[in-house]
Amino acid sequence: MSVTSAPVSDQGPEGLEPPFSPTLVEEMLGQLDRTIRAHLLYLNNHNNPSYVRSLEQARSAFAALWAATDAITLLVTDVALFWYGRRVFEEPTKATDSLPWMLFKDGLRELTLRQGFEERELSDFLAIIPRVRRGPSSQDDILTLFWEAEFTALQYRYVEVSDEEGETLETSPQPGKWPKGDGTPAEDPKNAITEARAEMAEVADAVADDGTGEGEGAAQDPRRAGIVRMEDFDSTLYFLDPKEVEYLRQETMREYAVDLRQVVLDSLLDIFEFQLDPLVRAEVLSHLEALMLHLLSAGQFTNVAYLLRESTLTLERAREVQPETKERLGSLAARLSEPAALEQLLEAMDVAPTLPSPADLNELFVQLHPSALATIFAWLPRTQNNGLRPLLEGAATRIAESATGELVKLIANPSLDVALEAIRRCGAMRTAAGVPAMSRVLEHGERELRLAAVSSLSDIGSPGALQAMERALQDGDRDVRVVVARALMTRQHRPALVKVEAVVKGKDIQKADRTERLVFFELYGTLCGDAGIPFLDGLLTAKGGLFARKEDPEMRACAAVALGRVGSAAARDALQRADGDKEVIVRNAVARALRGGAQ
Amino acid sequence: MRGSVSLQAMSEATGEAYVRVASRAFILAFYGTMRNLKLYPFENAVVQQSLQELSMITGDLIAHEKECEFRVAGEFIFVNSTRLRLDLDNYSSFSALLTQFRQNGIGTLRTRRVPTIRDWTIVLGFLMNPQGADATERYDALLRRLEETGVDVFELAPLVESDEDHGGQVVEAKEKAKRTYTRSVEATKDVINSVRMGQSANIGKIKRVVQGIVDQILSDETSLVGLTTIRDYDDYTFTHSVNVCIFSIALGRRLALTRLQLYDLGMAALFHDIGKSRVPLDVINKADVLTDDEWRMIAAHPWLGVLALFSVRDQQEFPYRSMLVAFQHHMKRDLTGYPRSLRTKDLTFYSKIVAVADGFDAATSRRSYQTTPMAPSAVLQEMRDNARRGMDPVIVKAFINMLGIYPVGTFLVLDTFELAIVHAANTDPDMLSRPVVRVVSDDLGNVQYPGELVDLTERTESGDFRRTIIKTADPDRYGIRVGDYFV
Repeated sequence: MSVTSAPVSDQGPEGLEPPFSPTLVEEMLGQLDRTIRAHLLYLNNHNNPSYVRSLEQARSAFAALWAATDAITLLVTDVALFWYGRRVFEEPTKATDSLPWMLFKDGLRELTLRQGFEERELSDFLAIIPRVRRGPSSQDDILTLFWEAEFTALQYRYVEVSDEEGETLETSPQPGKWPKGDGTPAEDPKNAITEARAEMAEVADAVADDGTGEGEGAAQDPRRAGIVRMEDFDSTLYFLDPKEVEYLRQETMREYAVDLRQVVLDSLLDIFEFQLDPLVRAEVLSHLEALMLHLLSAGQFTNVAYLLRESTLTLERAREVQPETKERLGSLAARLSEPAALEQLLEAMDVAPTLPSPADLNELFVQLHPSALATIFAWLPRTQNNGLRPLLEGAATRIAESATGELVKLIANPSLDVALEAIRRCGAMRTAAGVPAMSRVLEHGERELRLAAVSSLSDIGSPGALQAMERALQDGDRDVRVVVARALMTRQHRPALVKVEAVVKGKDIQKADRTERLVFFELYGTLCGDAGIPFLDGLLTAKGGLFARKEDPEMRACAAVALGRVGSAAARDALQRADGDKEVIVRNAVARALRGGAQ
Repeated sequence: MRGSVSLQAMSEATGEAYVRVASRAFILAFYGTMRNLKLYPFENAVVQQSLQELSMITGDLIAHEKECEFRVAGEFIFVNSTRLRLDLDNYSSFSALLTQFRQNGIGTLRTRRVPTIRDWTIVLGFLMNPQGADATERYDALLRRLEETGVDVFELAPLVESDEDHGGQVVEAKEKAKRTYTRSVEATKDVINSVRMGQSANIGKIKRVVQGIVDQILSDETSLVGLTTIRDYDDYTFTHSVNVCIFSIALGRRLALTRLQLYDLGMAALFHDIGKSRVPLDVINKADVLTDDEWRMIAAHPWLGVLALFSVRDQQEFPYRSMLVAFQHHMKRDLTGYPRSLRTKDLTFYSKIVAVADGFDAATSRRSYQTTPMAPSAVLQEMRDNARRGMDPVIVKAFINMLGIYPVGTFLVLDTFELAIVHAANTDPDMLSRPVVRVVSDDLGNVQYPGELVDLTERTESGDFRRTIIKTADPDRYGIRVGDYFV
């Protein structure tokens, strides 16, 4: 229940003595404010004991007040509430969590609460608060929300910014008659009656001539001006039939199910297509741009995707589009793909309490320009939102699949995160086109990039990829070398034999750690075949003569493992000869190799 | 069938839900029985069945609630203190019962014992065939007749409010309606002029205005709808926008939209012609025939409306629904009309409602490029029959049901050779050709003001109607200023 605008004084009926102590009102308002805060604090859990207690305390405060009166009327200012000229509640800051300001800002100036409010309507009142405090994105002002709630124990008065009443509705000087001299002279109303009498007489004559009144005369009854025939309305009268009722029900549901934003986009694009005036088109474009931003901030990604898709179609169909207009509409997707714009979008999604559906996000990302890929890649390692990451990954994959050129280009991106992501994705997508770029990374890139590159090259597994990996066998980083060696072993890449042999026979292998040595010997054993047995056998058994120094046991163990990898009868013979070696490490390695060979 | 469904629904409901379901079932049974009694003889199985159902529903209500009370207050019906909500499948029965009770001067019909089928047959028979010239006489006659037939199960109370237009409540409602109307026109003028000047518009004020119209329509539709007949209050564009808003909300109410939905519809309706704020005033106000170029400018107003509404922004949200109604209100059901659209697949429901309200108000108004308005009844007929208008036939049907065959403001010649103006449609769908009228001239053509309010369903002692419409006429031709009778 509301009362429309009326002038109200700033502080109420000053000079009038309050009928009871203002303390009761102050306590009630203080408690109401605390309950509002508790309501917001426990918005998702109204069974919380603290909230329930706060609600009970508010009801008690109201009950204490109702012992003294049936209703109170508060005057609302921007920073305080007044009762009988007394300041009964104050909140000096005009913030969204200030009770006076929340009421005041939309024009509410007087609030009356009646007995029973706390029982019947307090819950509805509290439910309105979060909607009001949602801030500028809320489409509802407090007056609309109060109006919608149809309170009976809460009444309010409001003022409008502008309050003209307009002209009053008055009758003419001679009520019922148009003033004379302002147009065609009117006929005397008597004429209407005379005319009607004549027509009635004519009808009566026709009926008399016809005898029954139902014969030809009546059937040919000429339509006289102003005579309404009931039969004309037969099919329209009375009730809507059940089908019509159902149709209306469906239509009401449809009105609220339809995506209004998309239909408005349709209207704008239609206007763009059919109106050739460049000024109109420029205005439509500015609205489309504004709408796109609005839709993005509202998380309406499907609609943004729809807009981008339809923009392309519109440009194909529209006639006489000026080049700059064409450029402006066509660049919507490109502009959204620009790092600054896209980062805003990703930032918003990262902090959003609820995420868009994968379908919505995909719809949008498919429309983005490939240049968006760098921004997405850069964002991926930064995202704090675990739910967002797989959605972004999926979307990035889709863009990358449709724009491998851009993906390959990003391998050389100066940002480590971007290049790393591009390399990983090349591997995952088996993008052979990325091999040259990754080769260059292996030559000049940072360690982390080189590691990722060898992994991706291994996934790609093309001859070119394996060739690039070969070169990395001499990489300055031990981890890179190990990864390369393992990858080449998996791929059994025989062309690498020469380089591997140089490593295992070189001096540097002595300095390598046990794992690296082992991996390289395993790789050598995998690639060398029987041709490598003499070297390995010599290393394992070391029969170089009386003074020949036996090799380091670890090297000998590596040779045993490599012979196991060769796996031929000759290799087994060599292993068996070393069976029972006095070095435990060698003996164990031989035994394992023999078991492996037997398998 | 419907009764058994209702009884089942009643048996499944509890607490407040029970009262709502039972009240609704009672209203439908009450009205259904009256209709069946009117259509068929008493012995007919359909009549007997509906009487039985009415009796059972009443019995069930009494068993749960100790009594069954049907009360009329203003435009509302209460069953056992529960105010009934208008809905698509009860609004016609709702309206008809409201009329029936008013005509018989009954405010309350209560029973604490379950009436027999005989009791119901007698009381319904008396209600449908009242005796007496006015409501007070009919009420007294009803009490007497019930006593004479020994039916004592019903307790009756007279209607408290006055039907006379000089009654305090009616005058107050009329003043409130006038205030609502003038404020609405003023706010609309503000917005349209702001848009015309490229300024941002005060949407808050428009929201209050539409909320006021919704409240007014829900509490007293007649007063506000009557004011739509005023044709010279302010510029056509402003009054037309308000009139279309009023007609749309009133129609939406008949279509059982909720209060909030009526608000949405009203907002969209009020802005439907906002595109005209971008059409040069000399074209809008041109009295002569429009040139092709000028017509093109006028025909651009739907899409110009979409663009204009981008400057009428509610905080961060754009008025999407209003934009669509502005864009589509001249499109036909087959999507011809204007503006051209490749993408529109279907008109929105509210666009179709506003199209009907707009078509009616435009055709019945005198405006710059239409100097001779059509008679309201002729407009309704045209809207219904002329498929080329492309309006939704179901919505048109509901609109005619709302306005009656003779819409409010129609100028009439009665068979008494008095001249009259339609004041309100008859809420009984069976009596759409017999509205409540204000007699504005005696049979000699002497114009009277404010004139007597009479109900054309009133009968003489012999059972004949006292007055019947013989034709409609053009009030302007005879210098009658219709709007004065609603101010």
